[in-house]
Amino acid sequence: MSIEIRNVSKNFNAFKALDAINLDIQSGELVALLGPSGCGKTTLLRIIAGLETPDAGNIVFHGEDVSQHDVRDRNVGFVFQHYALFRHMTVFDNVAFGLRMKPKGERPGEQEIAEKVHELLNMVQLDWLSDRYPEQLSGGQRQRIALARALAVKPKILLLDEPFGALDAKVRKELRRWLARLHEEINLTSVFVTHDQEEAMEVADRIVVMNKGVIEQIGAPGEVYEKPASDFVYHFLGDSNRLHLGDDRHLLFRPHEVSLSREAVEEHRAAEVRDIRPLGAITRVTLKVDGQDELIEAEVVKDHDSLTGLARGEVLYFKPKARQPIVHG
Amino acid sequence: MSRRISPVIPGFGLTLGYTLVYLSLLVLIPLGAMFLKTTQLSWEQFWAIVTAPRVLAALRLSFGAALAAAVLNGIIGTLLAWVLVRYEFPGRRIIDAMVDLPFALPTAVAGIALTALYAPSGLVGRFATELGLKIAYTPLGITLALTFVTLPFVARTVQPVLADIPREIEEAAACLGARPLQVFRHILLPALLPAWLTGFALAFARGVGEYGSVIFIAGNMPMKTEILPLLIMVKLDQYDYAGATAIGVLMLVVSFILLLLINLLQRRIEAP
Amino acid sequence: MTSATLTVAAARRGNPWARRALILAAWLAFALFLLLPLFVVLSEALKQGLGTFVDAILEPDALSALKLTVLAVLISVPLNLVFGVAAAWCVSKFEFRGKSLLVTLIDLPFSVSPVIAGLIYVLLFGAQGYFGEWLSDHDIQIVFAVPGIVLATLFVTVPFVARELIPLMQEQGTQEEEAARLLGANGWQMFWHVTLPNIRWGLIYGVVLCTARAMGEFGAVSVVSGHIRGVTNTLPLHVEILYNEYNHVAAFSVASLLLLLALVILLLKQWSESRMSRLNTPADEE
Repeated sequence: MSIEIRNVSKNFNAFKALDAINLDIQSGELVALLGPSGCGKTTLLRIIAGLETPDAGNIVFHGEDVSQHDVRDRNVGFVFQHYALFRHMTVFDNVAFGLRMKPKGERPGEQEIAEKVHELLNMVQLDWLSDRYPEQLSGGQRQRIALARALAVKPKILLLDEPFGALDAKVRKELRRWLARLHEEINLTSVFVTHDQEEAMEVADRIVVMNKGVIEQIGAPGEVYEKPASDFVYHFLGDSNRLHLGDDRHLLFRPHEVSLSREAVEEHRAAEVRDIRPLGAITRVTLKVDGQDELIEAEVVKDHDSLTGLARGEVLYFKPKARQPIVHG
Repeated sequence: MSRRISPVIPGFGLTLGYTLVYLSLLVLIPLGAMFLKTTQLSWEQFWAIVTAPRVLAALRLSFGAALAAAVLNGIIGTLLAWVLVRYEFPGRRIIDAMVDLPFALPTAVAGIALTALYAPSGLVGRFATELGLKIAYTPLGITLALTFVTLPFVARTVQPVLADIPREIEEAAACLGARPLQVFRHILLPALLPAWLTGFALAFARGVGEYGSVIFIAGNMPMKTEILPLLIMVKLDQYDYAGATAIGVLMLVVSFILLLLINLLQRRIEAP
Repeated sequence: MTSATLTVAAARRGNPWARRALILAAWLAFALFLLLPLFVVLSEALKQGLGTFVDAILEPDALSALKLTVLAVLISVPLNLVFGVAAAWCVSKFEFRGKSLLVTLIDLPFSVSPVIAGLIYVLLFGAQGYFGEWLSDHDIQIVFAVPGIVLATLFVTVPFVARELIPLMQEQGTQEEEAARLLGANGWQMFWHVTLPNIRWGLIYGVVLCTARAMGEFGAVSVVSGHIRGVTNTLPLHVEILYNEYNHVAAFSVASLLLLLALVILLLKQWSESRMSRLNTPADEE
């Protein structure tokens, strides 16, 4: 099912959370809403779900305007940041909840509910936990139960609010890949909110970069990374260096977009080596250039020629790989 | 970011309406009626009632004893909270559970029990009399009764705050060279003071209005051991409704001003 | 060991003598203030043996006082329970102007003397009160009758349930309710299946405290009761009458019945409190 967001605005008192947002999401797509905290991404997600009413604009599901529809009738699966599992119910009852709330005529029998619940628990590989209570589960397990609970009512759209935010780094990585695979299998239109660019790049088909209540750029992961529409997007999607060129002009480039040399080469600038950090496959060199206080970070493969026998205090020559100079002022 | 009414959580109008109607019928309108009643008196009449020597004596006694009891409670309550949070010792759980006894025990029962204890022939009163100390039927007895009924207030407000102070803060202070008393003075006291004041104010307010536990041990002699709530009772028994009402309004106004002052003090302490 | 680690260790354990002294002081305060009164009530009650004790409790006036106390509890506790849930719901789940004023108003009965609580109903419904004439014309008696006692009890117990639920529900937030709505629950289903089970121990805790106060209220009830034996006497008032008649053994016998109820209440309170803190351990990362 496709989602169209038409001119949606939302204020909290004097604070503009969303300013005339327009966004189309295709059926079966997995879209990330990416941005710093307070950029309005969670508000937008809650508006799509019907947990928040927009001050202006419409939400259209598959051609049908659902702006006035009650949250129950939108048929949306929602996974909360802290999962919001019902703490007094077992895992089984949590997942069964949506089925048991159906009106009399549509409600399946307990036998059928049990089958359905176990099927979902098997899908998230946690059937053996069905009698536990949420407080007895680890963060990653709670996350998957929350997902199973959301999927139980066969939603047409799946919305996830910072789905990996509360997990530690290793579990987060595992779950990310698992979610991406799951999405391939069930092919449900999905939107998730995140402040972590790596997460958005790894999981999403398309990324919507937001800042201060507006959309800065929409595009495939490679597109927003390679062709950022603004300084903000550029900075937000990865580490960056700023090299002053004089006259209010400066050049932005990423640490890996650099060529290093021990000898003075054409177009390369001299810099003093401040620090050398081997980080595994790559090594990061921190450089001090005359004429600016901001340090430059360069990342090269660990066996790069320029690194052999390099020590702090020595001079190294560097040149940013092509990117248009930006004028400020 | 302030969250407005969530559109999916129902029942705002229903619950707010019910709350307001219930409170109005049961609490606000009847209290309003009391203030309305005093308007039947002229200002001079009202002033004459509330400045009568017997009323002033009761006013001093009620507020004085409540204040003394709250102070005493501030000490005993802090002691209990400290010991219950910081130490593991035999009987800790029993004491912890029993601290709330004064809230569960009907005040009349507390009243007759304390009287039996502290009367000159009582278990404790006997020793006190030998030492030349009279407890029952004196302001001291009243203070003791008020201390008993308000005992849980300070202990129970300080206890959770004390338990929540991370040990690391004290350890950090100790690492920086603070001696135990300095740690208490500079680290614990400022953290506990707001809760302590809240407990103090609650104990004080309850003490001023307390009736059941006091009247048995007070002896109820006009000008000497007669508390304000009892004076209201006396006026009512004489069908002096205006007089009773005037004293009631006086009590509410004085309590309100004192609680406001405590509140202001609390805010000044909490402000960085 | 350096002096800093010594000081840290000392701060952690405290001076052993100071520790012993403080524990001893706490035990003394406990014995003197809490244990001794308890002991006195029971010993005075059993002074003349178990027979007199039982007689005092089974005496018709005592039984009718017990009945009235139970009635007052049975009416005031459920009403204040419903009120408490409604008040806590609107205060904890919504933002609106005047909210802090409303919370203050809910707590108001705590800072009003119980005698004043009785007085205000006399001023409204007494023979010379604002509605006195109308009531006597219609042959309705409130003051010096059972309705007055119920009203006075209601007044002094208004805040108990609400006060326990407001912080609890604020802490729990609205996400579980939102999740329930998203999964298709309507308002009542959400309340019944999600909210109520989450607050049930806090609710029981509030009810226990409310019951204790309703059962033991003295001042407010004393004003509106008229002290008519066998008709408008509650148990605490009955204790007073017996005591003032110098029938000390009977007074303490009835008092010890109330004391036993108070101990039961303490047990229930302890139990619901421990259940509540167990249920409320935050449900995020371990």
